[in-house]
Amino acid sequence: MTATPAASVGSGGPLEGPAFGAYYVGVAVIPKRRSTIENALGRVVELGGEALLITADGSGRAARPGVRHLDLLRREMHWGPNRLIAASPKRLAARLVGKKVGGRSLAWRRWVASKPYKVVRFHILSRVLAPLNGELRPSEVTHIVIAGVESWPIAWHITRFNPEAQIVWDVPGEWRTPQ
Amino acid sequence: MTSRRHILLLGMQFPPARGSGVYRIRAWANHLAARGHDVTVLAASRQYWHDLSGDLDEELAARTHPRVSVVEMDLPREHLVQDVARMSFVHANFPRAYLLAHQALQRKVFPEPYAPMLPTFVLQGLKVHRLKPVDLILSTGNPYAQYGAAMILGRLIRRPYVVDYHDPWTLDLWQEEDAFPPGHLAHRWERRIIDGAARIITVNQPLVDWYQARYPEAAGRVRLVENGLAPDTVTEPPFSPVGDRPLRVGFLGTIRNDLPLAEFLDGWELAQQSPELAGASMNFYGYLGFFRQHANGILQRLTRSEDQRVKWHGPVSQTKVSEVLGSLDVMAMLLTSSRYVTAGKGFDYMASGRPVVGVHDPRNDTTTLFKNYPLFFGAREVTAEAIASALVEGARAARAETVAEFRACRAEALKHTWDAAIAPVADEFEELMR
Repeated sequence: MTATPAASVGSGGPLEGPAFGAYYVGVAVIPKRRSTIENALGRVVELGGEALLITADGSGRAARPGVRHLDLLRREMHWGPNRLIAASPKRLAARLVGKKVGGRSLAWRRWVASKPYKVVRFHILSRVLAPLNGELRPSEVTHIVIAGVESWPIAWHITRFNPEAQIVWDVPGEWRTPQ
Repeated sequence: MTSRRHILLLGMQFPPARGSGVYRIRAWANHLAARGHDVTVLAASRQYWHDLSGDLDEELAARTHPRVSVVEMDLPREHLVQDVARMSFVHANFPRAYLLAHQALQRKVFPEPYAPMLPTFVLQGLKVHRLKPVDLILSTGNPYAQYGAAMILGRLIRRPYVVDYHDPWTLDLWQEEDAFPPGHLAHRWERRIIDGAARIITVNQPLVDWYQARYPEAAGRVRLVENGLAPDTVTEPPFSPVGDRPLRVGFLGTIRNDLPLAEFLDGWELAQQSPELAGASMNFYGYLGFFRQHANGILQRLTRSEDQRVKWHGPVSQTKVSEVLGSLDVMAMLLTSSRYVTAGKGFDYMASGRPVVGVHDPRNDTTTLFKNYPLFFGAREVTAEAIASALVEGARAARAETVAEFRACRAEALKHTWDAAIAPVADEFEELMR
């Protein structure tokens, strides 16, 4: 899984703005919180900063231009014992006979929605993210936008690399309304 | 004077902690030490208070009686950490599991967010007892886990224990009804604690009545120890007649979110139309709430309009209270409204010797405290009009106040010292420790 490339800031947004030099990472690992975080990151890019959206819903690129995007779902499905659950026999057989099966397996969907997995899931996502430090560049992160407890593990791990990174809920108030 | 005994005082909020509960704990320690006993206080560490409120009152801590030794404990406080970067690995990485475990602890073991502190108090108490045998355990103030710890320690070392409730646990002071549903674990713990306690102490007569009615079998062991004035720190402020200069009205104490600030500021605006308050300023002294995250919101409520001459001067050490009182002409005492509340800061307000305007429901028990104070002007109700009227009366009295009136006010304040309030019950402690 790789990050989608950043749009050229120069092509749409200002070269320098109040967010110039800021690098915001938004942790939206459940879909419910995604749009709020994505809007915040969009403003950062519009104002000259850099932004990365982290999700875990299997989605494609970020909706806001210029916001880089890392989706962790595929890596999560291949993490440790998850690989066994995600790869159901039915899907394997379908692949052998050359059929294409869309969507995720029932076993995986049930497992992800189960209470025991919910307890550990967000920590696992932080482990899944760990090898992607080259794309994340945690030491350069200035702000981590979180939404709820599900964002805590990834935010916590970024602050281990970079204690200076600030954990926030949104961009500063004066950035929210386009000037 | 009786023989020297060793009293273990469970008082987490001992100075340099700050907050309204600090003074009562300090008063117990200093009073018992002044009687000739050795007092060991189990308190939270400086780092704990620094993390929680960001401020310490070192000047007050420096005035602790030399026979009081303070054991600063590193109390578990993970449940209070809200900054993800400062959380423990388990808290940050498994937040749902952490929360469920914390809730289960409260549901099954001890029904209070501070439950994880209970074992620390017990273990530290045992350690103190091993080094120097304890004759009496006194647990004073919140958290309620301290009372549970006192009971367990009392059983383990077979010594009497006394519980001093600053705030009741199972009574909701503001709603004036049970804080927990019937059968809740808190009721069971409280009954166990009270059943075994040698004395149950509380702060005003309405609460004494409530405890006696709730626990009739313990009624003979319930005692009243009112809050009081600490004349060693709140000394006599200077007095000079006001004359024609604009008045300085003041509030001193923690500026909590639940004070009637909006009603008061509306009343203040109305009162300024009166010639007595022409050019007057309203001066707030104290911390903005108890937790640092509340401070900005409270400050915004306080200074909502620039032309009202309302100023916030920041916190004041208890040792500087007299200086502040001496700079004010009228005291505005904002309190929450409950018949079970007697404000500790009321004693400092009395010590000013100045007119005191009561901004609270007359049912608040502080009204009883001020019944003999010569210059008390309580608002009839918590509305802008009634508060404005009380402010104008207070202002009028301030302009006319004489030295004789100031002396009479001070004399009334000095009837309410901590030592006077504590002594009768401390006499009973001597019996318990024989």
